[in-house]
Amino acid sequence: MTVIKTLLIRVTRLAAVVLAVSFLTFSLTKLLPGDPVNVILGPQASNETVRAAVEKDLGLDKPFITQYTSYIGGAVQGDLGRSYNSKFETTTLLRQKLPATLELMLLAQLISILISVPLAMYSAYRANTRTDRAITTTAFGLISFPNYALAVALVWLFAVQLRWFPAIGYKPIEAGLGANLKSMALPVAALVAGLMAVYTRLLRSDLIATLQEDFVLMAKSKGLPTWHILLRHALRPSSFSLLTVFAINFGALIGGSVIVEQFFVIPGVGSLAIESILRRDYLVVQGVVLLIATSFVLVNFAVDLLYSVLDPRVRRASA
Amino acid sequence: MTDIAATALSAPDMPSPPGTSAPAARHNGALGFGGWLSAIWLTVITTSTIVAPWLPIDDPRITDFAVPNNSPIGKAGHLLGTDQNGFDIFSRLIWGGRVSLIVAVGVLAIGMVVGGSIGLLAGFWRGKLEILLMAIVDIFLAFPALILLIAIVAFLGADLTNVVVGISLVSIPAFARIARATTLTFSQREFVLAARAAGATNRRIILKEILPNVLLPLLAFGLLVVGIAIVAEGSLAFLGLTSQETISWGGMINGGRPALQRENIAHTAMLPAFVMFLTVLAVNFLGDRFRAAFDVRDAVL
Repeated sequence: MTVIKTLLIRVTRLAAVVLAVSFLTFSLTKLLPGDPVNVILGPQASNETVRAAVEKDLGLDKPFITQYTSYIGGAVQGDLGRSYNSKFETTTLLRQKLPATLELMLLAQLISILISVPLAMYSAYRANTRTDRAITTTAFGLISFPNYALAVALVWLFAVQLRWFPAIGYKPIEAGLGANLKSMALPVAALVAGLMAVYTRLLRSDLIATLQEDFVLMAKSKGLPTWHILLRHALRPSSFSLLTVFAINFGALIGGSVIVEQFFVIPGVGSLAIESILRRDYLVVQGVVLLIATSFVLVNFAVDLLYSVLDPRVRRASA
Repeated sequence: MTDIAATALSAPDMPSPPGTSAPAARHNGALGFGGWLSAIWLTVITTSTIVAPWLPIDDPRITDFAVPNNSPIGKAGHLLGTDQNGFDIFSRLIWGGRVSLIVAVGVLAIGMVVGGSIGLLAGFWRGKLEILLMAIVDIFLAFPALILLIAIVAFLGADLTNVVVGISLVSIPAFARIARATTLTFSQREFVLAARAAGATNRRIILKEILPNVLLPLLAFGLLVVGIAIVAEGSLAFLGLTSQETISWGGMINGGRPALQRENIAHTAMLPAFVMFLTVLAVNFLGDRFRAAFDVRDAVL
């Protein structure tokens, strides 16, 4: 009973946060200077009759609260309004742009984890050796590398000098898997560098703490092989920080890969956000923010649940 | 450094993973070789950007028509060559540091004062005020930071003040969380109780007992934010969201891109990228040392 109650309270709070974020976005687009009508009409914007007609058409003549409630009413039914510019449904635009962003994010996350887990395990096991120091120093350097600077370096090396990959542009998966992956190689690499470095450092420091625990000593004295101790005994209790950040990045990367998407001209959610901000296409901006905030909140929720799966102590504490 | 909020800002205030003990803090006061190197680099950058107008360097906004644009390093009297506009790169690197410095100092000051106050008040008074303030903070954290920042700067205009205010606004929630967590631990300590027993007012306890203790961990966290702020300003400049007048490393990288992609001229984009990297690295390195000494993460848990 209590479990259901806690869950209900949490879900209500999540919904409240999403609602608050949407309200804030809505108010911001009204408060901040810049008028979509000006952008649409251009030189005709000073013509009062035309202006009033356009405002009426877009529903901008109604009072603020009415506009907001009708927006939320639509949003609940999956209607996020139409773009002021292209007249496309916001949901259609999001659906168009989401695959590229998702592919970028999933590939980057997958590769980062595949690289960082073995690297962190090796580094933690051989803590304070020369290899460990090389790994941690490299990771530290990569964290400090702004991803646009890294993107420039990658393009110069792999596209201009070696000509292995295209410098910019995105080939959808329909154009063939090879072409698609080739066009994604550099953008993914630009994201992987930073992610991998963060993950390696997090997992390494937690692993070092775990390896000093008594149960690891016990396993060692039983004569278990090193790889067995690392994989089966130490990895799981050391993975909390890593999992938290890993999960948060699923939400964050939807909007956080803006720079990379923009640099490599990938038609993703980030690029959509920037374009619509610059064109004062508010309904689309709101759609993007709503999407990101919702996924952020959901992911946080999932992480909380994940803790109890990973650590029996949490399960008992909350039960 | 994929996203301002996710990778770095939330790392120190992650929900405390149960059952994991924080690794022992390195309590050595010494900076070490890397620390000294970082300090020297930052000192050089800071001083040279401050005294830039009096340095014997070329005007960063004057095209040298005597040499071809994008001329290479060391040729024709330009130490690091010229960029796509025929501007002297060395001089622009120094002037571009000004923007980074202003952003770093501005964001650190606003973040510590505003975020610190919010966290201090919430952590000290608890109750309804804490719930209200932290609810606002949580809402802001759920907001996609970079997109909010881009929106603020795009709507309000891309001058330096708006950039500083925008980045500060995005980083205030994280400052508030750190300050609150540190306040919570300190307000239960004996010396606070002792001060209260001695009849100190709340105002006095906050200012004289808690604030000095919260300040150092907050500053240690602030150094992390400084690195992120410099990168964030660069991101905006990189997206073209700066006024044309502003000279900034991010803008220089962006300006050098076409030459890099089309004509295989790398130094115009790579030099500012490298300088920015070294600066962020130095800030992060010092911050890391600082945090090891005043273990922020420990305080948060």
